[in-house]
Amino acid sequence: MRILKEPLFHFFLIGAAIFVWFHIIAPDGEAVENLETIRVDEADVARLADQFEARWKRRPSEAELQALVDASIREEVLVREARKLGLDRGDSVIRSRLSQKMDFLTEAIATSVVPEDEELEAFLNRNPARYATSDKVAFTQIFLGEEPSEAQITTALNTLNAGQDVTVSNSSILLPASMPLTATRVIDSVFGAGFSKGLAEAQTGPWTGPIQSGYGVHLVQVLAFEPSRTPPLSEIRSDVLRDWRRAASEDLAQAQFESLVENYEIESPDLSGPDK
Amino acid sequence: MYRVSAFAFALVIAPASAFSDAVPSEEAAEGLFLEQPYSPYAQRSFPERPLWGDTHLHTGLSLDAGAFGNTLLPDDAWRFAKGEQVISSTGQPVRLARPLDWMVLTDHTDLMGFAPDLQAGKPGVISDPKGLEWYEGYKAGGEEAGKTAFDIITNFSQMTLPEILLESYSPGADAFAFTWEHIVLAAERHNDPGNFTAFIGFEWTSVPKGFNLHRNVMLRDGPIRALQMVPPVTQPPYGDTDPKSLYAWLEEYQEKTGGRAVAFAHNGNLSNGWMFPTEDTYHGGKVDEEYVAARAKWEPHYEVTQIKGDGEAHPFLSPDDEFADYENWDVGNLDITELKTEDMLAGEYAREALKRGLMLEEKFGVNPYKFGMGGATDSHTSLATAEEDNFFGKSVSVEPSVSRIKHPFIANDLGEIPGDLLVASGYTAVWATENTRAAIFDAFKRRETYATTGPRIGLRFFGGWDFSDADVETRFLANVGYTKGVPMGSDLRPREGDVAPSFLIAALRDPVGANLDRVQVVKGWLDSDGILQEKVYDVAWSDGRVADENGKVPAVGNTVDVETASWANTIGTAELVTVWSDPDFDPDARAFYYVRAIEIPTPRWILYDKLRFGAELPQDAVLTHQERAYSSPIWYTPAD
Repeated sequence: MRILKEPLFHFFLIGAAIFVWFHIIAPDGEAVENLETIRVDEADVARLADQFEARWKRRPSEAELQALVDASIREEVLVREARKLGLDRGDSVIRSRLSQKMDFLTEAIATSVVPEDEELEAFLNRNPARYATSDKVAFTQIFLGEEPSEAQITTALNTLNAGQDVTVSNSSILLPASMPLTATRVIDSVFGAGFSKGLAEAQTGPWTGPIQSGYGVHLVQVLAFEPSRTPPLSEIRSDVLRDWRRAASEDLAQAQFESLVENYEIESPDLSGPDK
Repeated sequence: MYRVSAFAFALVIAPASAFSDAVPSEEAAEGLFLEQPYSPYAQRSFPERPLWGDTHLHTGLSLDAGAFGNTLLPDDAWRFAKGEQVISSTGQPVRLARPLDWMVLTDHTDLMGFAPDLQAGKPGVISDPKGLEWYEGYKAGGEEAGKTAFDIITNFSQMTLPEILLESYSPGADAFAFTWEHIVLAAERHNDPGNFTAFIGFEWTSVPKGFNLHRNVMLRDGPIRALQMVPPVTQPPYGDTDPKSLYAWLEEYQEKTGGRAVAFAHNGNLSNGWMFPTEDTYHGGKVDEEYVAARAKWEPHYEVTQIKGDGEAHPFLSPDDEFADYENWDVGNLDITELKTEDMLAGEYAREALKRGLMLEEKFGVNPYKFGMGGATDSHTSLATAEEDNFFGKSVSVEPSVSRIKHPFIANDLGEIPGDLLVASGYTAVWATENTRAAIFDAFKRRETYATTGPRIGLRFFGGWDFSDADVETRFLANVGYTKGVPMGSDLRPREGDVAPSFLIAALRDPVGANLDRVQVVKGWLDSDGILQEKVYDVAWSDGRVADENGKVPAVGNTVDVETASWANTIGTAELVTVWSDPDFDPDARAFYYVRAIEIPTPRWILYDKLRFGAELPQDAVLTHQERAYSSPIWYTPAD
């Protein structure tokens, strides 16, 4: 149960506290039990006036304020009657607004948390591939054509390793003869998928091959190889924090949902029958 | 006399003698400039490899994309472009075969950010009765959602959007500013200089009466400059559909922020002749000195090929070009409220526009249509897919499915663009020295870009006066090209004498793609009678074919197996390199030259739908095609 570990479980507790708090401060008028009284208090009137001002950039007149109060009473009456009739059920707009508000609550919690470095470190260690730099290779290459014979390959290899140049009649013009330290992804985009794998396995220094590219057969001389590394947290802290927050928010939403769903007994038809 | 000459002599030698301490002996000077530097990487100030990208992509923040169910936002689009796997809006896992090197994200500015709020049923949307109706329609899904999306787009193009919604999602509104901030900050998060460049941009969506005058805008800058302004829109009273209003915004942006921006148009083929005017503009203006100057200043690039049709050439305009009939859309304007007539075509296609530019330059001294070439997807799925075997369609409604081919792009009483005509195209290659915003943007400005319909064909094109056949033997082609000539997108300066210009041209097939059939040079010029002319020359080709008496090389053949959607590289060749000299050169005629490299036939995307889904293809569907690359031109202007 990873979700019970620090600090996610703590967020969950904070979340629970916030839900309780919202429950306590929720206006009476919204409570379904208190159907017979509609009370508009001073605070409500002030809120209406503020809303008016935000929209029209001036305070409402007395008549306008009265109209606002009347409209809010009318809305309250209609909303309560609609609820009595069950009109809120099955309404996709209302349902999705409500479930969305619950999601906003959990999201707000997750984005406000500042994790310890140890937590980010742990996250980084769980997802090293996401932050690792690419292998890099610097090399020189000679293209021997689509299907050179074994003898051609051996001769060319021996000549090159004896320090002599090789002239190949059908050598490619546009393929780079050499590349400085370059990410394997980029090398593959030039020579075709898999070419860099052959380079990464080659010994640095002597000419080796043959290595197959998207065009044919090559001999290569690896000049330098820089293996992939995962940078320390200090170099990539903001990236890790962003990803951690996203993950924490998803975990929290799921944990929240799981704890709520425990209060229900779910009955639904089994859809895994032969028709499916 | 003697005194005067001595005085003159003293004047001449005086500057040299002032530096005499620093003048080395000839011997020492020779040693200073090594012919070949020891380090093979030194002195390589020219670009080594093309950087691949898409200049035109929409996310769920765009009004139409979101209304059609695109739920992926900029973060998803960037992650996808960088090569990560994402889940599409229709729930399908998707990944690019090869990541892109850079991209411009160009969401529609009009009602920017409205769509996600509609999807979420935000109070700002559903408090309006029309907004509530659309929200319920969207939630209902299926056909109902489709109708809703169509209703939204219709209200947009008819300019009948509810006033309160328009106000809430236009410049001046918080939601508009926050959406812009979202776009800018997402680009910044994914911008990784040296590895991947994320450009801040937008699409300015001018489409008066259905005539497509859209422009994309890309910024050279980061958030500090980009967030000083919000982008312009076209819906009155917040904006205007006249491109002059966009130019005014661009002026203001550069003035106010010190940043740099360019604009580029696309889909002249859906403008019914209004994209490249020579006399009157759609908005009632004249093509005058002011117009040509502004267009030349702000639009150094054109998106020549994309999902809504290829716009390089049209067979009506280029009857002698057997490759001109390629993925053309020529039914009408964008919403087919007006059908196409032949007289409109000349104002729509890139080659014709380049020719018209020569004529306007003769008249005004400025060429308004001196643009570089680029390809883009204009996909509305947040997924920049331009490969035939991995094509996720124009919008979410035509992401891969057994029936997507049957959904027309548009169909009404006047005409139809059937779904199988969508084009899985294209990308832009940039010859930039570094993968950064500055280096790539600057390459756009000097037009050192080329378009492809999707495959990553390598293409080098240099113009000069001294290229010789020996130059094709070099192993350092770029060295020779940049030293002895100018690259694509440049001006070739006139030279004394009657020598014709020569061009060093090299094309390399996509490392995982199809072989090349041929490489051509397309020339356009203004002849001595003031008539615009064009000619396509086959300059290099495969398989030792013999050109006929008109210089035309016969077709390469076709190896596509339509049952398995496969082909064989048994025809064509991997690489074509040549030096070509213009046999019809007239030193007194304005001219441009660009290269078209053509692949051997390969399957269109619909064959993969047939193979993978068993999709039924229309009787007359085009099953194979020859994909291609278009270089930016090199212009020749005679000496006065």
